[in-house]
Amino acid sequence: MILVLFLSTFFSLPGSLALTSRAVQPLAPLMTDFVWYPKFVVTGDSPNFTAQWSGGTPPYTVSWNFGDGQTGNGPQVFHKFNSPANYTVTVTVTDSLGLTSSRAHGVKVQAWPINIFGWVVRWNITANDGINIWNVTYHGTLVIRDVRLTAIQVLYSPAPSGQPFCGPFYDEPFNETGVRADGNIFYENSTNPLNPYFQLRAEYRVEGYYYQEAYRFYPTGRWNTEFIAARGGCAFDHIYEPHWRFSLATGNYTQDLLSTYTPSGAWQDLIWEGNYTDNGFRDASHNSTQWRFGANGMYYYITPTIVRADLDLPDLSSNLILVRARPNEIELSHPLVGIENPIEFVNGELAFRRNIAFWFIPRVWDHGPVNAAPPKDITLSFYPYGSWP
Amino acid sequence: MKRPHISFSSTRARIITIVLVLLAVLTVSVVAVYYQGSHAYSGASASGNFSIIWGDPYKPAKISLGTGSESFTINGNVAKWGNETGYYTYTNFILQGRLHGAWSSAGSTYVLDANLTLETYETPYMKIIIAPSANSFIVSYMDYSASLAVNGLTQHIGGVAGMKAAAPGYFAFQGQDRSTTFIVYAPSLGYPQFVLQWSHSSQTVNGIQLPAADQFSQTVTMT
Repeated sequence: MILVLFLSTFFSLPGSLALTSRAVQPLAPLMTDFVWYPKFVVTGDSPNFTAQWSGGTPPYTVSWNFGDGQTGNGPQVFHKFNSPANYTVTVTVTDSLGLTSSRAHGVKVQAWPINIFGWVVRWNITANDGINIWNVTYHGTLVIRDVRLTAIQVLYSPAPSGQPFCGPFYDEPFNETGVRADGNIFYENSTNPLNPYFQLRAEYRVEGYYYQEAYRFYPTGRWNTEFIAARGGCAFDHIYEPHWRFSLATGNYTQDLLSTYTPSGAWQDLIWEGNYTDNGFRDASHNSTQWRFGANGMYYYITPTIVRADLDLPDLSSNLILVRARPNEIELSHPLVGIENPIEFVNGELAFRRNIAFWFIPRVWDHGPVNAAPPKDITLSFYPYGSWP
Repeated sequence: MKRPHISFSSTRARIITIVLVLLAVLTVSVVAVYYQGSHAYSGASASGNFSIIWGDPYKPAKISLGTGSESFTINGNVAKWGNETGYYTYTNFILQGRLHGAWSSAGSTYVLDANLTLETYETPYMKIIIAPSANSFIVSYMDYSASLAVNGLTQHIGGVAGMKAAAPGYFAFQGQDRSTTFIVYAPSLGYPQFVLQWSHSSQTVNGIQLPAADQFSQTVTMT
């Protein structure tokens, strides 16, 4: 024994005393944190909270305070928030020696459905369709059955005999390879008191392409959907084609009709499935209006506004594709639209009660990343019945 | 019995010899033609002044001039690209690229050093196309790892990048003289991107002034 103690001291070998000492002293201070997913939380969600800690002496116990009067235990918990608020969620880790470490984060819980300016907006976001809004009412009247940006087609200027240099691609909204770490969905209010609105916005990246989409709701009943393509992508001139799919409602009316403005100054109903190109004729009293939707004097005017920063590139026409939606339709694509491999709804997500749907496909040129231009912006405005400005 | 006399000088022997020689020549020619279209070297290098466009792509870009160098090579087998005459695409390849650039703007200095790689086409976005007759080529998306020093503070970034080495009129390049462009997308920095352009001579493209590089070359060779 004496020899062992001598050798341990002389050669600095770890001895039994040292081991005993390590058993009662923590190797490192106990440090605690936690993460949660999804980062963007709405009422009714049950985000997954996962504790992370280091140091201390095992075993550990983990407890949670969710800031809404509820508590939990365990390293990984799910907790449902029932009301929108900013909650302070705290995790506390206790080790076997009774040492504790806590960490708190603010968790913002947003309202779902959105209820503002008389609008009730139901929405979700999926990997293939970005933001979907459905069963949207304005002062109790159904206005939007379903709208989504199903894909963004990117077309490049072709080689001499027509082969495109890149693509064409169908970039799927939100099927991103990189997003902002703090979440990329936003509930936002207008900062201009003279032009109040609420918008739901998402931003995402697909390879080198930067996209945003937003749905904007005004107190007047007007609403917009917007697509923004930032400077990026391949180093060629290229065209963005956002593919929107709409199923709208006309209140208590039983007919849904789309109409286009004609050179004679009359509105012509579109009856058959087909591809209707923007023919450039404008309703003089409603400048830049090209299509309208509704019946019996209750119309939505569909007004595209395309802001193109690369003014040396030509204007491009927009297309409206009218399709007959089947009851309980599950396919989001249509042969006329040209998207292969139809994307399908998750079971029972929604069902169409009427038999009309349409796609809107505006197009805008872009020089890509090799210029200094700001983003390209395409907005479709829907003006409510009888309140056309 | 009269034995047949076979001589090399006979007409038959001459014909056989000629046929064999022709066959050999034809075989060598066919093999040569086959291999002529199957391998390509593509390279671009430049040093000296360049133009850089960078920043958040949702905002108007910042534009500066900088100095640096680039070196980029691709070796591998190629096949015809679609129905395009004179255009080929790499089917397998070894790609190596290095990029160094330093610039300053608004009192800050930036130094970007990047290694560019691509082993295989992993997504439909990735593609390498060459136009040997014009010594031009493009790489649509490759991987990169880089360090970016801002005022001496270095951070490491990675993601996807693209490049275009083209003569005017090729690959939609609209300049008056050759230019080599690199696009570095840096999602880890909150969406900024960097577009570095070296030019054979001073020119303006898409409203961007490109200075002349000190050294500049673009080569595509089929073997």
